[in-house]
Amino acid sequence: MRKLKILIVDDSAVMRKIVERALRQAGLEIGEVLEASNGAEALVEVQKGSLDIILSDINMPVMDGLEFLKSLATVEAAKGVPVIMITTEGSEARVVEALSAGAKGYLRKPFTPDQVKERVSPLLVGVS
Amino acid sequence: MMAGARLTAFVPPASNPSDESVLAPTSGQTAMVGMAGALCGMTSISCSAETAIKLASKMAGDEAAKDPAIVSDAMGELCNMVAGNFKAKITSLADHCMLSVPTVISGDNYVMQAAEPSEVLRVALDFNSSPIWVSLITQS
Repeated sequence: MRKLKILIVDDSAVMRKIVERALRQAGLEIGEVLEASNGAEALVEVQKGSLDIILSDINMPVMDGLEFLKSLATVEAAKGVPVIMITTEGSEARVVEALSAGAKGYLRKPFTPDQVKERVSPLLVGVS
Repeated sequence: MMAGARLTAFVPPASNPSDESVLAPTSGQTAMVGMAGALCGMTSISCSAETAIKLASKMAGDEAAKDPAIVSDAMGELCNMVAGNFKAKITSLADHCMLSVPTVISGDNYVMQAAEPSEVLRVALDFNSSPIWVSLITQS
């Protein structure tokens, strides 16, 4: 069974650890975790290729999650890689905007490992 | 949830039920998230320095919590979640109220005072027998 290569994008180092832990507690077999603190850094990581899934915060400095999501459309290495947005805010408008821009789902903080599994697992069918 | 703990109301020790330092934050760490738009004000969480480290340990691990920057990050994220979830539960606020990025201060013997607050709601929650104060301050 191939282990997953994931990218976690959040300006909070603590949240990146929490997301990784939640993914592992959800039972996902994770091989490599790439991290980025904003959308611009994340684009660099995406270019390296072979990602199975991306989880990204929305509100970040330098390049926010929505701009990052829209930028992925022009990145060959991002084709077919599902993106889950992670949000604190309750703005339906931003969630709708993210889904319209291609996000496959979203998670609201705080979240449980079960909620992570519910959002992420269906997107990884056939990957691992 | 993020710190793997269920919080209940903090009850001051029977030996010192009216000690002001137990009833209100005066030192340690305070994280603040501002709100603007349909509702103006601030959400904050405050606790002692030791409690902040314990919270960060729960969220990011013991080793990471040795870094003061990680402890501040954890406090900021917790406050962010409190503010975001408060906003999400009020239908009229969700799309009409913006949140600031968190600001975290730490030190001894400080007092937070908001300009012309119209309402102040402060609750003390118990985390490992230490208080965490969660405040909502709204401004007219």
